[in-house]
Amino acid sequence: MFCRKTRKVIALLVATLFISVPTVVLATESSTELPTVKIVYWRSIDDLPLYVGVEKGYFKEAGVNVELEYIKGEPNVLAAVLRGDVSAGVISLASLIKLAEKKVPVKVVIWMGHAHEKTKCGIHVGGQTKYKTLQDVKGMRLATSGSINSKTMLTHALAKGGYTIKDIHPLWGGDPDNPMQYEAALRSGGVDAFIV
Amino acid sequence: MLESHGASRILASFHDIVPNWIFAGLYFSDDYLKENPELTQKVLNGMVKSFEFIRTNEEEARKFLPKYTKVEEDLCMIAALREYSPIEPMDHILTQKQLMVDYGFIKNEAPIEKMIDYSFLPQELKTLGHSSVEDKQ
Repeated sequence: MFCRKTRKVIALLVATLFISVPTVVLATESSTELPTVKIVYWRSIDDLPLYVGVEKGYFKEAGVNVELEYIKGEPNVLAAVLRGDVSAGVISLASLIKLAEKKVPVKVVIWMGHAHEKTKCGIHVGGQTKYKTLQDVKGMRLATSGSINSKTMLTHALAKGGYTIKDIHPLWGGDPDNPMQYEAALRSGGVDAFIV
Repeated sequence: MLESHGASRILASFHDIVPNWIFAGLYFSDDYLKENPELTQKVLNGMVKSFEFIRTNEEEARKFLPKYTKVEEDLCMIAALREYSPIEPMDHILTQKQLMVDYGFIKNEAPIEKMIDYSFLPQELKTLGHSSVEDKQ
């Protein structure tokens, strides 16, 4: 027969065993699980660094699990970031400047690319249209999103050709979701050009 | 991509219109940065490695595009990519801002420098360009 003191020790050991095992498991799990950061992406080619970071395991190597979440539209992304629903998003420089005017509490911490000599983003005209240079765009029907980025780019391009926005027919809000819609609009002749 | 189908011709690229036009940046809220500085640094460490991989292994990097963009692989392999640089020169940023001011799309007093924080980047990168870190200090 065990004495009372021995039974107490055994009871304590058993209790310790049952309590400590799950604690060890939890400790093991928490040391192997990486913290998650949710970043919004736009299913765009331009978000390539995010895809590479996930697929090549660079984020996990750095000690963080990045989850990419699709949310359409800068205002919606901004709202999600400010609410804390997601951790980060991508914003144009023009929109960042607008946020600066309003003193919105966000910071860009790394840039996501700039144009270069091989850049194909810009003013695209229909393959069969008469427009060849920035000097002969008078009367052109150009569809674009109407964002500050697009307006600035367009206005500056027109100025280079000796024109102003009054010399063309801008169609604000013309920002199709995919390349096929751009193509259909150009081929139909409904518009002469897009900023893509 | 439109060009590859013969649907369009490029009249002028962004680069033709404004050289090295800066497109976008990755941003966090101030609260998040204050509460999670180490996590942010880890994300940026991964991003910087991604930039380097794209620069040195562009073709392999492009192969990840169809999965995320739903764009056909043959187009993903020829579409023009941006050039990625963690820090953009402050004079380029200010040039773009000035164009927006000159054309009346934004006000002049917007303090863009205060919306950029390079302090979470790997140490060796902070000396590149005209970091606003130094500007702010």
